[in-house]
Amino acid sequence: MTYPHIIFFIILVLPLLGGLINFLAGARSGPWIATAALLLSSILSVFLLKLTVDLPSVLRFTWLPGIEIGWRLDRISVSLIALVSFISMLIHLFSIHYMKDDPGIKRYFAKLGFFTFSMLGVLGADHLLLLFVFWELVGFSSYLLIGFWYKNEGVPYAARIAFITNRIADAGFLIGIILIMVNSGTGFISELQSIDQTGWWVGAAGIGLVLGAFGKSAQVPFFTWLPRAMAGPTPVSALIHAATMVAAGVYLLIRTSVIMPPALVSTVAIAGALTAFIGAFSALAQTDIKKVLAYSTVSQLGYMVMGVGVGATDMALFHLWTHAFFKAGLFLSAGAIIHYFHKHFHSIDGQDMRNMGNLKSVMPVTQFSYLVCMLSLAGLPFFSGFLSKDGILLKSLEWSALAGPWAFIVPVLGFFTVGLTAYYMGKQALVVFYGKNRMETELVKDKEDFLTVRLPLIILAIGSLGLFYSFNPFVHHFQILDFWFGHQIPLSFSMGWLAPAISIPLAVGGLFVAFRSYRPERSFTYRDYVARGHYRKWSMHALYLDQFYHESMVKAFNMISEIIYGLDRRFIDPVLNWLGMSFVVFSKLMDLVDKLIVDKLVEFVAYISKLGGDFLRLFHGRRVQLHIFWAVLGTILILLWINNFM
Amino acid sequence: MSIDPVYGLGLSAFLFSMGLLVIIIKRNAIFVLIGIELILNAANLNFVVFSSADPANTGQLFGVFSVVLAAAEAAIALAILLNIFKFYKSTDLHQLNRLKY
Amino acid sequence: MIDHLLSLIVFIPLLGAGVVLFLKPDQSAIIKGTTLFLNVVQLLACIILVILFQKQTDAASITTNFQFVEKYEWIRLNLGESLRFIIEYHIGVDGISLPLVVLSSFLMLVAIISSWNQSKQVKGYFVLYNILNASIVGCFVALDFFLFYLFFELMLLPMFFLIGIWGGPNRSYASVKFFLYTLLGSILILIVMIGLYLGVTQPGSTIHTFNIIHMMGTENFVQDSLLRPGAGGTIFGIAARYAAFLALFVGFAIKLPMVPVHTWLPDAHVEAPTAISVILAGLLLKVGGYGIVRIAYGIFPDAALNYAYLIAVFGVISIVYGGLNALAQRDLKRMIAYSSVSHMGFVLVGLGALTVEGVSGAVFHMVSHGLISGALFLIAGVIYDRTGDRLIDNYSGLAGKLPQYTFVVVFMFFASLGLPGLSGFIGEILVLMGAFDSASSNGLLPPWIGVVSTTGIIISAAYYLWATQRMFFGEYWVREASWESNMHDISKREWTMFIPIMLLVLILGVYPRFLLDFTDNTVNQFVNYVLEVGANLMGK
Repeated sequence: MTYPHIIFFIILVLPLLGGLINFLAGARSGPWIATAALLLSSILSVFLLKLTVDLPSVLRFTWLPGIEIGWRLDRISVSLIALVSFISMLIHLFSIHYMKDDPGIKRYFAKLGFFTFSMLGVLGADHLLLLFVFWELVGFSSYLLIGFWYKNEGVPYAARIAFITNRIADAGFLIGIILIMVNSGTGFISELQSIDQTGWWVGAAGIGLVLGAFGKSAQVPFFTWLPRAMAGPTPVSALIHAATMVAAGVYLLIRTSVIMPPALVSTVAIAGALTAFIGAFSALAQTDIKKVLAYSTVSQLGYMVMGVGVGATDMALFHLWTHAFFKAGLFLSAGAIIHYFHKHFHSIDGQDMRNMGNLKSVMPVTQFSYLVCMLSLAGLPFFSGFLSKDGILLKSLEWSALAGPWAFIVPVLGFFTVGLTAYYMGKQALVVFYGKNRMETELVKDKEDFLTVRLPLIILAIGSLGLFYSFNPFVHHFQILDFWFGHQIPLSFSMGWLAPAISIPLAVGGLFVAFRSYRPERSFTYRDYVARGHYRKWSMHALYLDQFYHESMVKAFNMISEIIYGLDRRFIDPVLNWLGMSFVVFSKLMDLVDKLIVDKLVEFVAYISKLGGDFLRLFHGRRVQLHIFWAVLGTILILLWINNFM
Repeated sequence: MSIDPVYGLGLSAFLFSMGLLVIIIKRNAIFVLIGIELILNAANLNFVVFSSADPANTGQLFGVFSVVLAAAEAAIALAILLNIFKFYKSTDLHQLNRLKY
Repeated sequence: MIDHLLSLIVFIPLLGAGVVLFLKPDQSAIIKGTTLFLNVVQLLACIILVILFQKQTDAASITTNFQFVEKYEWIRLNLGESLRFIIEYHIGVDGISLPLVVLSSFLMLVAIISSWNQSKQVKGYFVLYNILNASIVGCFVALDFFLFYLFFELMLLPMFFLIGIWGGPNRSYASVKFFLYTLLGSILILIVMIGLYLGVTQPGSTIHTFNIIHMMGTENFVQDSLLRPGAGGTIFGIAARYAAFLALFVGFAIKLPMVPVHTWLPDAHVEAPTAISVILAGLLLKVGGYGIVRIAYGIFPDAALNYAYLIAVFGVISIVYGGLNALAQRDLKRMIAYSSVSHMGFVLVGLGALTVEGVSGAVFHMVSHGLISGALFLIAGVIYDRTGDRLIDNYSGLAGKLPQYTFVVVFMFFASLGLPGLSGFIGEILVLMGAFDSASSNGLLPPWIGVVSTTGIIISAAYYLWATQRMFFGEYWVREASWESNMHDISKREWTMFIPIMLLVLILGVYPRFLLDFTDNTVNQFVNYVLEVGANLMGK
């Protein structure tokens, strides 16, 4: 064990420890302890980054006999470790305020700590099996946190669906891992490039890994769990279902795409583009403030997956990073709003955008942070989202030019989604923060706490500025990426100007359309919040995929289990019982034979002997000793008789 | 010095006959028990007598063994009798014809 | 003392049975105390056993790998010049049986704590309990087939009465069903045992033997024996050795239990008292698995290779079928019982794979499932103790009312559905690796076995989570108002049962070498033996 590893283990264990101590400490100080642990973790991870930046550090050990697994700390993993622990720290901080009055606050922070621990484990793992271990733990803590308010209706169901959907995908992932381990003799991610890639198993393993990644990153056809997961507390949605966990699938794809066959990678690209589009489309008509963000997350994850598919793995990673900031910022802003409503207008649904309006007057900092993050998400220049998204789009153009005419579906969907994204985000911002207050009662002025609300929001907003990553808002010169990969990313496509040339007008256009429909001075009815047209219902229900799963697969599955149980009770068990019964019937028959034939025979013999016995009884008196007397007499007579013969 | 086995066997036969007689005649269970003891001891005597003709002396060993057994058996029998007496207030064999109740 | 450590472990409970027999029925505290004390002594002896056990032996083959061997002539009949009937008291442990011995001592101890409040005919209960303990441990250490069979049958008797007297409302049906089923299996085993006795002699002599180790040596078979490798005889058109293997396999598979001979299990579990369910699921099922490894595979490696595919197919069927059945259950205990069927299917798949990972996984899964299913039945017992009812639909939102209980339940449910970091995962992943490895290394199983087995982890997640959702989430509600007063959280006594199990499950999940280091050497030799000897014999 080397020096960096000791630091890594401290980073890894600190959130867990913080969560545990928080659980033992009081409800006041506990959350602060957990947050402090995370702060320490983030500081240490920056230090770790400095240590491992040029020298990847590898630790291997034998976990199961014959199976060596290990950790690997290199630029990519440690950068993400720093990202996760930092964002987790901010969200801890925000949660202190958000969960202040919840009776389960200790439980909450323990679970949050456990999640952070698991997520850091995913990032540090170099072996697929070790990664899978933490991968599942991440899913488990996500289950716990989605189901945090287990008493509320629909929450347990959402948690269960999230876990089961992930589990289905993970079954594929597990098969993929095992196929790789068994057939190539290694499961180390860093060695995947060098394994012999011949045989049927490579494709199967690739499909398995893709399934696993798609499940966790909520891609088509698995994405339905993510909007449901919004049933959890909002900071949890920010941390797990926007910034970190859902990006784990993308991280996995980035790390393992080297062994995937080209056809599979193309499929990944198309699936990603499709997800990006479906996510954005579904976000259009949502009325729940968190649901919009959730579908937007699905959409952005689609971009990342698409990026991996078209070969822009570094851009996908960059988008993962920028998305973590602006999406966490958006969710925390939404959390601040929900908390505001919960505090002041308890009877009003604080997640329904139809109740909001003119919130800028009461929450200026939230509005600022929201705007920055939203513009970043919409993909406007000077914001981080523009840089990363355009990288992916550019690469997709290049890729489709090489791959053939059918491949143009990917960039087309990708660019179209840019417009949609700008539209629904603009709409949300306008409806929530501007216009008139749409409630019966007056808005209440309430200054947010600086340390636990404003500070995290401001930090996340700053992190979403393009300046933070590149000094030139248009040219793809990414200092931070150079740092990760140690070299400048060459973008050799001759039409490098094409992507921004298409996407900027699209984004601006989307915002403009939104502004035209929802401009502050315009009054509009509830019906107008959802987009008009025939597609409204389809958008609202995300193409009815969730209902389809529930009606077809879940019900069919339950029905099959009932049928099989019926089979067990009505067929297998009775057959075995019938076998037993047939023995009983047979024995009854035997009994009859016994009574009618054998018994009678015996009775006849008994009758004969009774006759003899009755005669012999004449010699016996009622005294016991007479028996002995007759016995002795008989013996003597026999002896005499023998004597006479001999 | 050795005694003609006939004397020993004669004594044994006498003991055996006495024992048998007691068992057959007496009504009292205790006497019957005594009769059984007599028969057992007659058998023991036979062991000993015959063993005097056997250089390995196995017979004597069996004699001792049998005495021990007899003692144990007598103890159990007496215990049973005692309980019977407690229960029926009698040891008359003719009245003890109902062991089950 | 050390030389007789194993005998000590086997006979301490019998001593307990003897002592309890002499106590008065109303001295229940002394009866329980004695049993508890002797069981603790037994567990300590097991720990010494583990400490003294050599993980790596220089023994060349599986047959010489046993440690703590005790071998005495037990029954000897001279039936003439050359005909002698000898049964030996021959016991020993290797890496496969050692974990099971320790597991059984441990679970027995837990089950005593669980039955601490037993008040009905305490004396009889604990006498039978001690006999059960001795017979289960005896099964795991016996190296003489006759001795094994004796312990195997001895197990039925106390189990029958423990279910039949102390069980639930439908106990007599369940106990008779249990007894008949397992007796059927025993008879199959008995037939093969006699056949083997007549077919095998001690090396270098004509004396027949029940020694399992001798039975593993192909050179020890009598020339004209039906069961001699390559003898060519058939029974019902199947080669005699294959038929004998199948008889043994079915005999043990009933115990395991394997679909379609599993239907005794749900009934027996539902009716049995909690502690007996724990032993039934945690230990008796493992005797079936152990019997397949030690006896069926050990003596007939060629047939094992021949039927590996079939066994794995039945394992897969058990996994899926048991899992789907569990999903349909409304009774918590019945659901856990069906989940046992599903999980023991993994053991069959691992054994069918005949790779080091597969067999290690099977052994590991037996131990881990022993712990987890034991805890699961304790969980069902906790709620049953409070309300006398186990229907899942009669409860809702228990998480708010019984947080500690919920913690234990979620921990154990997730351990059982294979959450990494807990022991259930290790067993499953090893078995699955074995199944996939088999396709490429020894070619016994096609890959679809592994793929279909993997669906088992989805199904198990489905039924456990559904049960959790129905019982523990939502608003607090119970069916009967009279239960309300009894709904208190886990007591200290109950924690003492759960904490050791949870710790072990966690340790085994995080550091599986804690167990696998013990089994590794033996499993390697075992797999080599079955593959090599089996292939040789099949070639003949």
